[in-house]
Amino acid sequence: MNLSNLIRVPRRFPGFGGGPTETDVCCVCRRDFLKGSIAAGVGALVGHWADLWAAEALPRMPGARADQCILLWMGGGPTQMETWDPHPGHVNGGELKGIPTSVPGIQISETLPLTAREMKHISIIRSLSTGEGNHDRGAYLMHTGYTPSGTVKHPSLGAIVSSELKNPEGFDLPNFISIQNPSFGAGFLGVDHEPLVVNDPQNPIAHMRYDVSKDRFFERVQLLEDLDRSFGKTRGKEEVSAHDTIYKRTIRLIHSRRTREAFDLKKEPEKLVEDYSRHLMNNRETTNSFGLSCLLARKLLEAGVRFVEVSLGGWDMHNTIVTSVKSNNALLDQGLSTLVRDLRSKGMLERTLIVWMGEFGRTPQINSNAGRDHWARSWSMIMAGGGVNGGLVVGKTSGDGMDVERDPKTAPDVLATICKSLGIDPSKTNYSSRGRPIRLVPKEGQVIQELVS
Amino acid sequence: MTRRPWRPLHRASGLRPLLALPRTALAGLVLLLAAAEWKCVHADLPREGGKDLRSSRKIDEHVNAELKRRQFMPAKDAEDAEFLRRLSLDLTGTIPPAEEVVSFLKDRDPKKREMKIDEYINHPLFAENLAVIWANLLLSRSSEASDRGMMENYLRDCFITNKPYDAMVRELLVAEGTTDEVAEVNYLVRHAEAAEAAGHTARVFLGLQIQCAQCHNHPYEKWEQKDFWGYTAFFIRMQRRQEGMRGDAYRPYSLSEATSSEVRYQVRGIPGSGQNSGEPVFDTAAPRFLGTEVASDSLHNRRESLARIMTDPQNLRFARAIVNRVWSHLLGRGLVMPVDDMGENNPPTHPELLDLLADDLIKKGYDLKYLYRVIANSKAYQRSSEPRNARFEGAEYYAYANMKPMTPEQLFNSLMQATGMDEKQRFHHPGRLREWKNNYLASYIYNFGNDEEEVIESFQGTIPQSLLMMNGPMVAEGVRVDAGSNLDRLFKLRKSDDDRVELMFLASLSRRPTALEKKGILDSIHRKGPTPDQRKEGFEDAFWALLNTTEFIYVH
Repeated sequence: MNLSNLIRVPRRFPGFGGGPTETDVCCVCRRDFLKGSIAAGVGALVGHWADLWAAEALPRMPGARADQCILLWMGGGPTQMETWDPHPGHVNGGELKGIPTSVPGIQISETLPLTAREMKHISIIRSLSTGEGNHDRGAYLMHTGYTPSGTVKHPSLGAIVSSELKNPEGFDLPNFISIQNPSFGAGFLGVDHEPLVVNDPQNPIAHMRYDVSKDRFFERVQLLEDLDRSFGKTRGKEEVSAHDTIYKRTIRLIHSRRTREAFDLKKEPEKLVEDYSRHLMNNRETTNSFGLSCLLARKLLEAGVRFVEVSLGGWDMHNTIVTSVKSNNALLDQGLSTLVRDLRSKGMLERTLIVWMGEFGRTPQINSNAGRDHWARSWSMIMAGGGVNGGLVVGKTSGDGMDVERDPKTAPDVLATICKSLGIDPSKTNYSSRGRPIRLVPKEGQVIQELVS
Repeated sequence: MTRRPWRPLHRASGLRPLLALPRTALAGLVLLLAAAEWKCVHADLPREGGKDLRSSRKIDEHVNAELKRRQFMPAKDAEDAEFLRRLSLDLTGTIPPAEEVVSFLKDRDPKKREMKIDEYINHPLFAENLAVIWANLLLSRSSEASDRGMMENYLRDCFITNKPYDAMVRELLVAEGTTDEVAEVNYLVRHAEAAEAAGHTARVFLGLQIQCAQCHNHPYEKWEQKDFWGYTAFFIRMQRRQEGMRGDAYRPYSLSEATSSEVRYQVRGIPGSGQNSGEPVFDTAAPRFLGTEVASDSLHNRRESLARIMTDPQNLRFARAIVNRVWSHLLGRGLVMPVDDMGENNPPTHPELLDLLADDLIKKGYDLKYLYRVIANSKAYQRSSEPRNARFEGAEYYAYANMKPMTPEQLFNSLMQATGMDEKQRFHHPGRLREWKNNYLASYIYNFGNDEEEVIESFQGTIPQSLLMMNGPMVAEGVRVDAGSNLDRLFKLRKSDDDRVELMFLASLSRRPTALEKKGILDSIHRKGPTPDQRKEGFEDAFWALLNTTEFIYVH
């Protein structure tokens, strides 16, 4: 309703005497930079767009092991006991057993047999201790590395990667795509790094098709340009030019072969689609939609997108966990193992970091409903692919699973490690819209060296 | 007198089902009745405009003096069409119907602008529009625990009855009760944490940014930590609770006032000053605000004291903040920018004007309709958006009208108005309108992610937005010349291609085409071929182009 809504404050706040640190300064009045920044904000939208087919991905960041990332987000809080940290000898371990994997000495849940074969590409962190046992707060923490403060909206992992590992100007796909999950937004990094949210992997972006012939569509666009030109002559010059730019980008996207192909699962070999998604449940054939999302994620990475988040929900297993985990793990096992194999056969595995996590783990003790409740004190996640050393286990929980015995890790540690793997400097500082300096990862975050050195 | 000839009743009531939850279905009826009432009293609109407009002239004296001093040449007056579209969008939240534009253009009454302003200010859509704007401001776009429908009902009633603004704020600040029964409690239920309530209330009602003082003395302003926490102490006893199940699976929240609870805070100096070394020191904050200390006994609701101090006529800040907000709503930028940051170090562009309007508003008993009327009747508001100078200078001094991007609601309402899709869909697919509206809101609103959950409402930022405008169902269906569409209806009124092109411009851009534009469109239509179907395609393509223009998505 007022112009200030349009104004984006520059992220780098120029010259606050002596270089502010996070603890010193928590606010700088934004009005200092408002003057003249309307033009800057609009101007930023107007960048030229060169021939898109000529646009190649930028080289990897110096020191990076990977240059693209898939986050497999396990909404609801996945159990550690029935996935990556089985405790078969203890009553807390529950009914399900562990099985050996392709890496001697590492056992994972018997319900993940396909993944067990890929263990040499996968490393487990069994010592997460994160302290947020509420869904929203935990999800915020694991996505951003910060506890929600109510005063600043921190950018989520995808937005950080999108803003740090840019693609060339004019690249015709968004850099952060989230499948079946709204994810967390870009926070103060702004709309450029908001995820493009895809709800259905088989029908990805809304309104990509027009309902008239191509000729008519371009006649319409021509009329629009003529009308806009006459308006822009006398008023709203910048507005018209920004409008023109975004329309041209969108029209490119609609007609971009790269986009169409990247989003079109039908272009993939039938066998591969089946591997990802053909699923038997109670002896009836169904489609593993998580698997399809993993396939779409691979296609998007292949096309040059830097960060894709894929969601698998249903982990909030307060009741009868054995039944629910069996069915969820079947979906997970199929999607994850096929993804690793597919990336490997495409030669993409070594430049891809795969992260699997949720907002917290689940209570080691089984509750009276045969389920497990929220637990953030000792739980697990995995990282896989070329971004990390595979076949390792970081940390250890006690025999009853209640405590971390070795190498406790926090959310900032995880974020720092992901950044390091992708060649992003975790100490880099951005500025919130109020000019408050905020590091990509809080400074207590320590890189988990054995994974990335 | 001109009126909205095109089904104002339907339009007004048509808006409700989109917003209403089942629980608030009554509100639709309320508005319907209000609309009916409006129609009846329409002929006897209050005409105090004449005697009330001295302040409009004063606005122009101040604005023009400043322009002269800075040597900016003011733009010419907006043409009637430009004025009407701007006024309609600002006051009623939508573009005017084509017929209304035509009759306004034809009207020869020299007082027609003044009369139109009165008509809109008393239109039910004015209350609807302000209710949505204020609900966004008070709750932000995510209503959290509060009941947005109830909040809008409350606000709509305030604006329909023109409740004095200070009384409205007092009600919002002292409210206790449950979200489904006491509508005004929904504001503080949304911000039930004391420091957040304090910060949000200061920002919205006083235009003050005081959050910095939460952690340390404000580096620029006169707010100290003890001021912040003393002020926060007014909110510290609020208690939010979720109530039991109401009928179906719905649990409202309630807000009540505890009898004890004090603010304890850690005393810190100005950051970087070296005052923060040593052992942390804690202090208890007694409730105090603007120099007035209040007894910290447990017997009274502290928020009542705060509401009284805040809205006291002596507190010019309160009046200045609302004047600045209304001014910014109409003129596209505040006398102080940003509107919620009116601290000592951020002086207004026109300090005397701000004080004059604030004084005036207090004298008129915080009559918001009066304030809108006075500003809308100024030349400053009614200037063209075409600047005299090619470098676009002087916007901050109102040398020409600022371009304002439409809010998502304005865009949605305007698309419905232009295409007639509301009429058509309401009968055939009642659920679809809500789905469309949600699509629009979702595509156009991004959480800006800053300290106050401000949102950015951007109209050019993203690909999904332009896809929605280019290929979305509302535009795709709306441009068709099918039975029931607005174009079809208009085309039945006029038969010549010439007239029809004119009508398309009136329905979308609320103006007549220039000769060149008309020729361009007619040529493109005639190029399609001679058959009626080919010509129809030509019209549809032109209408699509009009709805996708920059001109359409801006208030200018």
